[in-house]
Amino acid sequence: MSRSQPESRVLVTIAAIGGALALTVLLLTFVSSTPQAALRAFFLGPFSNRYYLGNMLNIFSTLAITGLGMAIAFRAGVFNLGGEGQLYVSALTATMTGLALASLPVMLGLPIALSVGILTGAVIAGLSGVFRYLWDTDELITSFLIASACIPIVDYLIVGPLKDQASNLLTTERVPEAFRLPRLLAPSQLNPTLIIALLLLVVAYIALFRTVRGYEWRLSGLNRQFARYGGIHTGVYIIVPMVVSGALHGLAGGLFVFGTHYATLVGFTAGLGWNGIAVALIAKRHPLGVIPAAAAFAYLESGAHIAMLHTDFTFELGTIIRAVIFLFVTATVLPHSDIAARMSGRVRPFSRKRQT
Amino acid sequence: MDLRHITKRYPENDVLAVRDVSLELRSGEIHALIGENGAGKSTLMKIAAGLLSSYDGEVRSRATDVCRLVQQHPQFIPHHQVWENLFLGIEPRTRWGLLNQEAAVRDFSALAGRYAFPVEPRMRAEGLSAAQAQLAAILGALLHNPDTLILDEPTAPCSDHETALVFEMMRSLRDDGRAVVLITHKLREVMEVSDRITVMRHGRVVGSLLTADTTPNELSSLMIGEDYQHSSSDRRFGVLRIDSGTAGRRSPVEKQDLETATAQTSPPNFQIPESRADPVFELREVSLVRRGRTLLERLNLKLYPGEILGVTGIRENGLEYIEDILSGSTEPNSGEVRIQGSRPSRYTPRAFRKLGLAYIPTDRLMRGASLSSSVEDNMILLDRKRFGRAGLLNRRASAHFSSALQQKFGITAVLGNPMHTLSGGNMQKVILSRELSQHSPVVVFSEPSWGLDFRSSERIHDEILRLSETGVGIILISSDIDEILSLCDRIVVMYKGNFARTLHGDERVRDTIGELMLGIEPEHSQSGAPGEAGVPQAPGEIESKDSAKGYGQ
Amino acid sequence: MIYYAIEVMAPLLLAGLGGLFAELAGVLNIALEGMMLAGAFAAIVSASLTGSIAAGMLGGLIAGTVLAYLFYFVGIRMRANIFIVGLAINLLAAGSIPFLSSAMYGTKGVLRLPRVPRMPGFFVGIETGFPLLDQIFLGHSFGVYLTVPAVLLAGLVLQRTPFGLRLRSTGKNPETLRAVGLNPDRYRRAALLISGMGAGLAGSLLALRLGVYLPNVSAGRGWIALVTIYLGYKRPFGVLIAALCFALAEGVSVAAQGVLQIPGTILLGLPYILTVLAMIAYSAMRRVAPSDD
Repeated sequence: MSRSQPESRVLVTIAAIGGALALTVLLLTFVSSTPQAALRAFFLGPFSNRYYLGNMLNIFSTLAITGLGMAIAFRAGVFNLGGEGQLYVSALTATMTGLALASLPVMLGLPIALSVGILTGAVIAGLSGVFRYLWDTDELITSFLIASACIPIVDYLIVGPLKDQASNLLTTERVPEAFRLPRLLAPSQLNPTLIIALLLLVVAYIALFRTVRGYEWRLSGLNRQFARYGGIHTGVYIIVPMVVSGALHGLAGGLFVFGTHYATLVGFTAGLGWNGIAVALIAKRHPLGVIPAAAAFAYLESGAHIAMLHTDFTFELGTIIRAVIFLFVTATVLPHSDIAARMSGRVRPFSRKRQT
Repeated sequence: MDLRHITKRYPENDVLAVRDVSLELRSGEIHALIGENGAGKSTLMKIAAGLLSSYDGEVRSRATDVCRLVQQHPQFIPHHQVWENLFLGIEPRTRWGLLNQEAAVRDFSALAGRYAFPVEPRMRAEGLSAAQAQLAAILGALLHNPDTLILDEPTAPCSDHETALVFEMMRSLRDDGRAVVLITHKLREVMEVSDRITVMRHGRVVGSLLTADTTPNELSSLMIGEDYQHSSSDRRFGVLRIDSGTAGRRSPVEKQDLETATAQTSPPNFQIPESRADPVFELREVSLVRRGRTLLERLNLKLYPGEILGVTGIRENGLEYIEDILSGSTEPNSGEVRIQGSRPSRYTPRAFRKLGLAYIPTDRLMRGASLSSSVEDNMILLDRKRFGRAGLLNRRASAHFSSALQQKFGITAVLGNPMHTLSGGNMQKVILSRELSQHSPVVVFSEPSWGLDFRSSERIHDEILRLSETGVGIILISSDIDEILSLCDRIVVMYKGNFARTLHGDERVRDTIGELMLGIEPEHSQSGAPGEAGVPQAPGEIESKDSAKGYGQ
Repeated sequence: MIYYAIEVMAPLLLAGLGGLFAELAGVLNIALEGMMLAGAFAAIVSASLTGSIAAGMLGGLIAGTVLAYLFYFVGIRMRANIFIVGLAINLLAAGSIPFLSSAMYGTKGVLRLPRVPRMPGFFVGIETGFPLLDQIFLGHSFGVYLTVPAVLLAGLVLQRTPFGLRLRSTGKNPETLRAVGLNPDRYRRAALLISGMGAGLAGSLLALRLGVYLPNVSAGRGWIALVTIYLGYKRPFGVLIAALCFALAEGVSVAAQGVLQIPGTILLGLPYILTVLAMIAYSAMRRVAPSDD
């Protein structure tokens, strides 16, 4: 679908990112009272010490898993817009399981707790897959709706019955000390999630591109009618990709608790699901493309965070910069993709009806 | 209109589609533009119609002249009504600037009525058959009142009846003093309707003649080039014999190149049955009802090993539905399908394939291929499981397999490139190579030579004949009567969702088929009750000579 | 409860109708949320500057339209991924409103500005003789009485004008427009600008009814507006029904909160669940009916 030569596209991309950065500089210089310090903190901050570097890598880890969860669903031609809620609910169920199993040995309790998180995400997302399989309801909308319905319920549980009475934050109790993943680059929040994320990306790459099932998976996404014609059970490749996508969000939620926060806080996953979609789209739905895409995201996120701590840089400024970069990056990296077409419901003339 | 020294290069694949072509289109003349696929006909005419902008050369015409091109696969918006599709951009308005639907429908109906085109303006476009869509697209072009009308393969989806309507329309436009261009590779049509012929090959004009002064043989050697060795020229020109009488099975003259295409590439997945007495494929009382309309009504059909059974008819008389039923793409409302004596577990292509069915679909672009996948990925679709080693895809084995298929079938393609880079003929070969690699005892071909040029369709016809000689049972669904006549042992003609008649032996006459397709019962009717195709089973039914059993025993 | 629901429905419906134009032109406008937010902020600011409700609504309308033009420019003209552009616009609104708010008024929180007039109730004091109807349908704010004409107008434009036909054709297959020498981007732009106007106006209604700008005053209504488009099967009247259903569900939640002592936060999820159930019921019914294959 590429409309122009690859080299020229790379050039345009570089120019666009350059433009966005220039705009950032301009904005900071104009707004900040200490523009130099703000700029330094924003651009160099993430690399200035172990703590910031570790935190950036930690943001990367979570985004890589959610981004992969989205990319892998897109590859099968299904759309999970409920990542946000799946992550949040799974974090809570994993936390509660961890608290309940506190007496078990870590090697038993932690895997169970994470599995519960994975299962939660898988079920929530899988529902949309099943609904589409059975009744042809658009999974794009149902996944969004179901997840949106879950968020206020989790909010309520954390604020209400499950609130840690000892804390004045809106949070659940913290999971037992023993269950917490070790910190890799203390004092930063970096933890083994990073390793798990990288492993998952490689595994997903192999599974998608080097296995028979992956072949069927991708074919179902590229042309479902052709896949069905070729004897592929295409119904499976509606439900399973949704389940896997949800499971990855569930895992991300669980790891977010046991690796980073040790509890579920109100709204602590906000944006992770949406950013996962953005990561997946910028990565062109490729598992390995998720690495640079998630890295770029993590860099911006932590740069903004550091600048906020040290200068008069505001949270909103970070959001605006991110928005501007979103606009520019997508404008050039991604030509009108099939996803855009699918999302806008464009129909091929005389193509047969979608078959399950 | 006057085209001068036109040259067009497609930068994406660096193909020189048209090389220094000059052409004059005169009013009051039907100008046929012929040539094989990829000869540059369509590109040249897109330039004439102003649809392509970057080219070298000059297009001269009066500023007020309107030139409309009706493309090969007209695009409609399925959910919109026909008139909404066709009046886009030239919408009649009421005094208040609103859409004037009545005026649109009135104008359209008047135009359709003038040429007796059976198209209903308020119908949704998705309900149009391929032939109706073609006719509607032509009407759409006529709404613009063009001085030059270019038709790109207008009769491809049409039956003889509709073809006659199109030709009548062309003649009437000519007599009206307009210029009409017909792009085609059907020589019979060219001879029948055109006044002047331009032949293109490899982007160049290789001949420009008056129809009255030329012969089909001369045209075909111009189109194909002198260097081409005719492999079975009798059949090719059989196409031109309009009253070919009892066109029968003709053995291919040569088949040494196309021996068992896959003997070296894969072990047979299925056994071709030894006994030829039992049917390999059966329909029993199959009916299909959708939206309250009976599309297929209690069809019975038996296919025996080594037999080529033709199914023909006008497309909207059930041809596309029978394709879906035969391939397992649609579940019938009643009745059953048996493949090699067994009932498939479900009505899915998957279950049908398991029982030994291979299927070459009409819709090659959407159903037969995944255009954005590589050629190799398209080839290994059915054999994918064989390349699995503990779930991992053995890419070396699959590459070996695909290049073997590529050689066997003479496919011009880079295996790693996406499928959409292939020409129509090569795409069909890829589909064919994949389906035949299964050694299935039953193969369903649907419109296998649609849109292909002589050489490609000939190879496919040879392949069909070769297959039947190995004992494979073949169902050939085709609206091309000549194709059916030259290949099939038995012919079933469909009319309004029924099998109007089964024709055996000497009954296989062009005129009879043509009449049956239109629902006219030929005078010399003798055998085969409606709804019956295959060996009559019920006692009291007239025993017909069963060419299927006779053949190959 | 029904009175409240109708009040809630108005902004939802306006945003939904606007989004419907974009959707039919083949552009999924997920930035409705951001456009509503911008509309709400701009409405309060311009109402405060001019002291006029009308100017406030105009301000909201313009703010939504400006964002829509940005959407068009990047998403259509520069061929960006529509989805990411939508997310970016939402982010842009979420980031720049507090930024501007603190730059202009020194607060990122609730913006209570002077000279913002109260939204007057319409048809107050009129009696039709049916007290129940009076209670439900009269005395609403101005926006509510905008909805019925808006639905009719949208239906008229989409179904009965050449412009509407071309816009719908753009969404189904832009090639058909190109084939007759029309530029589909023009219709996408028009559709996006209309969706921006709808969302901006919807935002202004939200804010002007309250008389203040609350951070995140749209509270996901942009997303729900998007859902109403699909639930309404992409028809103006369908969007009306869907928006009404959502509004009723919200009305029920609010009422239940008072009566049943169920925590309000949980009930925030109720409209979404009801929508999913409605979708399933609708699809399942279509499956059973022999009308489709």
